[in-house]
Amino acid sequence: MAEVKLEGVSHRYEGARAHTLENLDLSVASGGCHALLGSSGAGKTTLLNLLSGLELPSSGCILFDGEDVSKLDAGRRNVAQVFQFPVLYESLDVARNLEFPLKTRGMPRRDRQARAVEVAGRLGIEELLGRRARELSLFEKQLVAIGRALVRPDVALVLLDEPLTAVEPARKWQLRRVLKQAQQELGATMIYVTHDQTEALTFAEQISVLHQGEVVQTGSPTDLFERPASEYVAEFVGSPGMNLVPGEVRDGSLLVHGHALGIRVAEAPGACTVGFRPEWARAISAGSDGPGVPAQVTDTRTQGVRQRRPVGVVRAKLGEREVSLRQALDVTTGDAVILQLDQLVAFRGGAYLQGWSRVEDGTYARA
Amino acid sequence: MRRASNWLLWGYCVYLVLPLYWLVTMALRNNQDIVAGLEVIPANPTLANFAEIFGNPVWYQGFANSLSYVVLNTLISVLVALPAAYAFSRYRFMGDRHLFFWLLTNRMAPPAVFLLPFFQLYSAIGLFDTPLAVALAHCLFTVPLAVWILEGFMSAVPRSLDEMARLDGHRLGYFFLRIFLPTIRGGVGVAVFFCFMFSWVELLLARTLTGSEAKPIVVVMTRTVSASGMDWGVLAAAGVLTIVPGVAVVWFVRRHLVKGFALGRV
Repeated sequence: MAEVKLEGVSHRYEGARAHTLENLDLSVASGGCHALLGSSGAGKTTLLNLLSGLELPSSGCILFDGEDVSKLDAGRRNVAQVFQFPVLYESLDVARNLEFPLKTRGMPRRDRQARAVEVAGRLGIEELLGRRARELSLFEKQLVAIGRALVRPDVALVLLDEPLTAVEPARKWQLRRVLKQAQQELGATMIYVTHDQTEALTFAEQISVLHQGEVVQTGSPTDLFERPASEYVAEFVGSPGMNLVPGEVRDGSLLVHGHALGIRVAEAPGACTVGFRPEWARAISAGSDGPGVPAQVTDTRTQGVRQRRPVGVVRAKLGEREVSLRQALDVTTGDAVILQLDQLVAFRGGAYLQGWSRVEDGTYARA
Repeated sequence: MRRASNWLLWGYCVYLVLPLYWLVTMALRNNQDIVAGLEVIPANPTLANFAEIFGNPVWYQGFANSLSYVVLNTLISVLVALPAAYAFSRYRFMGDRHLFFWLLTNRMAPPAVFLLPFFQLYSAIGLFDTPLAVALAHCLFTVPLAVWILEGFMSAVPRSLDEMARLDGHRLGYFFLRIFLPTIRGGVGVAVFFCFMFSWVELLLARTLTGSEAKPIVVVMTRTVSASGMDWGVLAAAGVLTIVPGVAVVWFVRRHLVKGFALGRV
């Protein structure tokens, strides 16, 4: 298990005009579980290949436990990878597949077998050991592939490249739990790459959001929800993402879409963007008490029932912008409503400025 | 409707099998019976014709010659095509697509075009009338074919297999021989089949580039008009034996052939 550090890593493919990754810093604690989240084309696969050594960085350092491995080839970095679609040596049986990575590192036969059985036990696949790899289902194959990655006791880093894509939805939870358990028991350092935020948010302790070849934010799932570093992260994380509406700082107070909510700010006057998550706001019928932002309901979508009342997503129009609210469906399409915000954040120039949440007496305090 | 199509199918099968059947029955009859008249089932079946072939050096030497250049050609083609196909499938290099297409266009030239240059060249360097001469000439056609087939099978194998092997610490040679080759063995079978069949049935180059020493079986068969007239029975027996290697190879690769067709490369 190793602590992994990337310092100013850049990569440009031969013949390409632009850098795929630029000046990237990343740090993963030994035994930690880190997710890389980004849409396709953000540079996730390139970063993965740099970590595994299939590609060498154009500049910058990759450190495993403080040792520079940037120039080492894949075979000498002691990194294991689980691919999107399970890759096994199809002609061998499961036990041999598990032993293979140990064989190339010169471990004696008896130790190899013992280790393969141990890892299979951790993953709950002992009964597959004698089967041929090509006879397994996709789910079983992926389990074996994960076993292969975890089998080397001294493996520095385990890379997971969207390992749940090929698995049917109903078994994703199961595989994720097995994976996480094995990670904790074996103490492996893991980097999990995905474009699926649910996977990233439920699996990893720390998440780095990748955008256009750069890490735009690293933090815990709560950090990403509560304090997104930029408007991009705010919209990208969460489903639906954060609502963004125009705001302004005037005379030391924050206006949301032109309406004062009684929030005092010390920032310089000027335009800003106000963001709130669908869970942070509630549309109530116009005429109710308390400060709010007037809006008009354009659509409602039932997603369930709670205490015999329908709940779901309310879409409302706020001037030009449409926002989503997750709440009880006690308003209908066409209603004039006011939006009460429990929590909100402000961005200026695309970057995070400040956040507030409502306290009991109806006023706002800085979060 | 159903009945009609059934009859049509059976009719077509008979049409396909009839010449084969006739060849086999002819091989089992003596010359007098063959010339005498129509006989669907041989009245006096005999193996004398086959005995003649296995006893006469002109005949069995012909078979040996054919087999030696065909096997040589298949070996060279597949050994050359394997690394070439791997390169086309896994690496991007300057002009790779054009080169790949050019390989295919090579197959569009009729073998007759190359007769004269090969004949002149081989005579000059002393290769004329050897199995190697025919094998090399056939390689001009079979190597592109094998590359084309193998590339299809290799590209169907996900690249992550290569990457995993690299992470496991295998060198390219070990990976290629011990992991990759077993994965695409079906493709190798199909490539072997097509190289073998091309070389086995090709007559023009084989006849022109050999004299008396390396005379192939197909040429022996065209020269069986002797003083006593045509030796029908022996000729038919030779025909039957000529079909056997092809049938054997088809039998071994029949399952992989289907996959090859599915990949659109055969």
